[in-house]
Amino acid sequence: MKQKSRNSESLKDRLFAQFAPNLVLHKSPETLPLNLNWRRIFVLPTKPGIFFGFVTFLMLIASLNFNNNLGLMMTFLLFGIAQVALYRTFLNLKSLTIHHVEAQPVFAGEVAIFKLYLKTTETKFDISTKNKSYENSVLEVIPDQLSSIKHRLKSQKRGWLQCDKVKIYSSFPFGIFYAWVWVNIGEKCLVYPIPEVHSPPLPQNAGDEGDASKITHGDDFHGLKPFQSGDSLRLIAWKRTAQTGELISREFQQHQGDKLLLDYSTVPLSDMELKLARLTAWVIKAQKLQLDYCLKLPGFDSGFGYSNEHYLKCLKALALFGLENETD
Amino acid sequence: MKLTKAEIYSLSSKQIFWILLSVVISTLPHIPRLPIWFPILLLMAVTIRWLTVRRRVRPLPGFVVAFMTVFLTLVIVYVHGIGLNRELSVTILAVMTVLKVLETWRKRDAWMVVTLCYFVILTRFFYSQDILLILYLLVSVLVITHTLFVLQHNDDGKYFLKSEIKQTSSLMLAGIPLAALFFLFFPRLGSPIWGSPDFFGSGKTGISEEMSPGSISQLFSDDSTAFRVVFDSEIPEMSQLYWRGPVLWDFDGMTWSRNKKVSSIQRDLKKTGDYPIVHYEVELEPTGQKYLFALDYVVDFPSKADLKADSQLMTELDINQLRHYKASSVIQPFNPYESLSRADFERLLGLPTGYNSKTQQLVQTWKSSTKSPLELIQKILQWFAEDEFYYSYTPPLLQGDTVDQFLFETKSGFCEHYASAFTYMMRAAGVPARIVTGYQGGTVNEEYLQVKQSDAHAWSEVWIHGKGWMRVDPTAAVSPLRVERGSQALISENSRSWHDTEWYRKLGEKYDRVRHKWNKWIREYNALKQKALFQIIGFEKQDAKAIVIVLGSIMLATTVLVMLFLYLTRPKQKLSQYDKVLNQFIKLFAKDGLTKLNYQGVIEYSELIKKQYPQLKDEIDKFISLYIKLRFSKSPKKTENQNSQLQNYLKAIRQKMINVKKQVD
Repeated sequence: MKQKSRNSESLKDRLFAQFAPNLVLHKSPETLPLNLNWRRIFVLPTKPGIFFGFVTFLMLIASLNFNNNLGLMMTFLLFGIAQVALYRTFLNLKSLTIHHVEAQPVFAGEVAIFKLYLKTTETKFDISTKNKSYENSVLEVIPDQLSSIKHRLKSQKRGWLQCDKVKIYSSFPFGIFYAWVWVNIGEKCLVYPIPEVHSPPLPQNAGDEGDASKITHGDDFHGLKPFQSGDSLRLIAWKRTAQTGELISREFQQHQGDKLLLDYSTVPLSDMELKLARLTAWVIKAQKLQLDYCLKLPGFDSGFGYSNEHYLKCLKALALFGLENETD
Repeated sequence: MKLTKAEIYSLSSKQIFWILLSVVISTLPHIPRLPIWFPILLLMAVTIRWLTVRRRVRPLPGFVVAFMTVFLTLVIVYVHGIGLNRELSVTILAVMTVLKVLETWRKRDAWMVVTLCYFVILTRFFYSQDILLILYLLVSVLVITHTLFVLQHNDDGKYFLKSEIKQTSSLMLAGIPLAALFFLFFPRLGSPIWGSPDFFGSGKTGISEEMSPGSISQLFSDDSTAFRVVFDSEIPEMSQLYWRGPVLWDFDGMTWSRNKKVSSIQRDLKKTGDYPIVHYEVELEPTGQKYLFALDYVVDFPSKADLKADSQLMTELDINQLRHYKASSVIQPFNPYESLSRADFERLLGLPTGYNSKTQQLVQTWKSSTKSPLELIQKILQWFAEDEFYYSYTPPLLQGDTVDQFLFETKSGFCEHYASAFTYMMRAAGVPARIVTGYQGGTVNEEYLQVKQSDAHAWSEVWIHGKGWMRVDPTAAVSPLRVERGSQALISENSRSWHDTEWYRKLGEKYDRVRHKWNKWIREYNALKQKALFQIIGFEKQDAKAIVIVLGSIMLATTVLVMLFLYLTRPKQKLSQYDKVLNQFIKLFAKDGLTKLNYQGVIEYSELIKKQYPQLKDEIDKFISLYIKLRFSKSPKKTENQNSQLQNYLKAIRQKMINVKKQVD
C-alpha cells in the first residue's frame, strides 16, 4: 500500500516536473524579486461564482423553454460578463512582482508579520494572501510604487519562522472567479523565546529589585517616558500622570559600575526551554532598567553592554540556542 | 444561528446602498402585477435595512423576519391558490428577495440576494418583450453587476465612484459580443419542453367579447398597435378594410354579447363574383383572448385556427404572445357562405320586451311603407345621414330605453351607438341582424398597415333572403369620413386630449416602425430562423457537430477579442513629463545592455550605470536628484522649467556619453 502510494506520487512529481514546472509549489525557496507569470496562476469559480452559474443556468433553461428572446439576451449577457470577468481576474494577478519581504522579530506566540512588498506596471486591485488563520489584503497596488501586504503568521516556537507557502489570490472584479498562485518565499522571521511570565527578580550579583530602585533614586534623572509594564511603581511620575491622564514613568540614566551576569548554567531550572524563558525575561528586564548586563550561554558570551544592538544580539542568541541546523 | 456584532455590521453602507438599489430596480417593474401591499413592504424593508447600517435602528431580530416570511407566504398562497402558477411564483420570488434584505448581514447573504435579483429581472421579460425593455435590461444588469463589484472591491468611498462604474460598464461592454453571437447561434428549442408559451400571459386588451355602452370608446384614446398587416399586393381601399372580430348575437337592452355555442364548421370557401381576393400576413399583438382578426370575408386561414359558423376566426388558446398568421380574403360586402338555421333565425330576431316603444312604432310605420328589407335599410340610413345625427366620442350617457333616447333625444354617438340602434331596428322589423365588432381601416406605415386600438369599430350584418349576410355600416351614413379615411382622419379634426397632436401621433407611428423591425428581427427570432442562419454560414444541417464548431469558434474569437480589449483598457497610470524623460534616459542605457528591471528603484539603477560609466557620475547624479525631487516632492511647484531642466541634463549625459565612447574607440 505504502509502496503504491509512493509510486503514484513519483509519477505525479514526474508529470509536474515534465509538463508544468511552474504550476507546482517550488520546493525550495524562490529568489526575490519574483514575477508572477501566467503559467503558475490558477483560476476557478468562487462559491458565489458557482451560485451565479447556477442562477444563469436556470435563466437559460427558462428563457430557452419559452424562446424568450429578451431573457436569452440577458442570460447571454451574463455569460459574456462571466467570460470577461474570468480573464480580468487572471490578468489582475498576472505580472505582479513580489519585490522583497521584510519581517520584524517577534516573541513566540505572537503573530509574525511578513511585509510583502509588491510592485506592478499596471494597477492591481484586491490582492490578498491567506493561510490557515489569517487573510490579509491590500485594496490597490499602484504602478511604480511599492505597496506592502502584511502577511500574518502565528509563531509557535522560538527559532526561525519560515514564511514558506504563501497563497496570493484575488477575486477582482466581481468575486465570481478566484485566481491564485502559490509562492515559496524563503524569508524567515526570528522568533524569540516566550519570556517567563512571573519571573523571579534579577540574580543577586546585581542586587534585587529593591536595589535597582535604590540605584534609580540615586542616579541622574534623564527624562520621562510612557509607563510600560515591568516598570517599577516608584518610577511613576505621578504629577505628570495626573496632568496627562496617562501613566508616565521617570527614566534614569545608568552609570553604575554594577555588572549583571546572566548565566545559563546558574539558572536553577532543569528544562532548557524554561531556562531560556527565564533568561529572556531577565534580559528584557535588564534592558528596561538599562543595566550593564552580560548573557552567557554555552558557546555564547555577549559581553557586557546595554545598547539596543546588544539587547537584540542577546535575544537572537536565546532564540537560536541549541538549534544547530538553523544557524543563520 | 447567532451573529456577532462585527458580523452584523460587516457590510459597509456603500455595499448596502448598492444591494438595496439592486433589489429596488429589479422589483420595481413588477409592481403593477404584484399585490397592493408590495410597495409598502419594499419601502419598509429598504428603510429598515438602511437605517440599520447607518446605526439609527437596531437590527431586526431573526424571528420577526421568519414570522413575516411565513405570514406573507400564507397570504400569497391564500390569494393565488396552490399550484405552479405564474403570479404565485413571481410574487413569492419578489417578496422573498425583499425579505431577504432584512437579514442580509454577511457577504454570503449579499451575494445570494444580488444574484437572485438577476432572476427577478428575467421574469419581467416573460410578461412583455417590448423594445423599451432592452434599456431596462442594460441599466438593471449594470446596477446589479456593479453591486457585485462593490461587494468584491470594498472601497468605502463615494457611492457613485466614476472610476468604479467605468470599470464595471467597460467589462459589461466587453461581454456584449459573446452575448450577441450566442443569441444568434446558441441552439434554440423548437417548442417548449414544459408549460405552454402562455404560462406567462398578459392581461386582456383590445376588443372584448361584449359590447356595452362605452366599451369601444375606451379604445378610442389608445393609440397602441392592435396588429400589423403586410399585404402581398397593394393595400385595398380604406373603406373596404373591415377587420372582423367577435360577432355579437344577443341583446339584453344594454349589452350585446356573443353566442358562445357557435360551432366551428368545415366550409367550402370559394371566390364568388368578380370581387378581388387579397393575401396578407398579420402580426397580432398579444390580446389575452382567442380572436384572430381577418378581413371580411375570409376564404383561407391558418390551419391552427377555427372558422366559426358566424365567420369568426378563433384559436384554441389565449393569444399571450406575438402571433403571426397568413390569411386570404375576398373583399366583398356580403357573405354567401353561411346558412341560417330556424333556431338561429329566431335568436337573431330576439329583443328584450317592453323597451324602446317609440323606435318599435317608427320601424313598424316604415316597414309598412317599404317593399323590401333593402329598401327599409336604405330609408334608415338616409334618416341617419339627413337628420341631425352627429358623430361624437363623448356622447351623453344613456339609460333605460337606450335606443329611444339615442334616436330621438341625444342623436349623438359613435359606431357603437349607430350599430346598436340599427341592428335593433332591423330586428324590430323582423329582419335577422347582428353586430360585428373589430377594427376598421388602419394607418399605412411604410411597408405595412398599422391597425391601432383607436381603429376599433362596430357595424351590422343583416340577413337578406337569397343573398346571405350583408354588411351595413350605419356609421358610414353619419360620418363617411370615418370609414373612407379611417378613424385617424376624425382624430386629426377633434383631438382627444391636450397631447393628442399630429406630431405626437406621427412620433408614435415612427416608434411602431422600430417595434415592427424589433419584432421581426429580435423578438421573433427562433429555432426556424436560426436554422436558416446556420445555412447562410455554410452548415447544411444544424447538428451537434455544427453547433459545437460554431459555439467553439465563438468562444475562441471572443476570448481573443476580450483579451485585446482588456489589454487596451488596462489600468495604466498616466506618465508625467518627468517620467517620460526618465524613460528616454533608460532607453539610452538600455542599448548597452543596462535595462532597468521592474523591481529596481531609480537610485539602484543609477548606481549600476555609474559603475559602467564612472565618467558620467556627476551628470547622472544631477539628473537623478532632480528626477527624484520632481517625482517625490509633494509641492505642486513642478514647473515646466524644472521639466525642461531635466531634459537638459539628459542632453548633457547623451553628449558626454558620445564623447566617452569616442575616446574608447
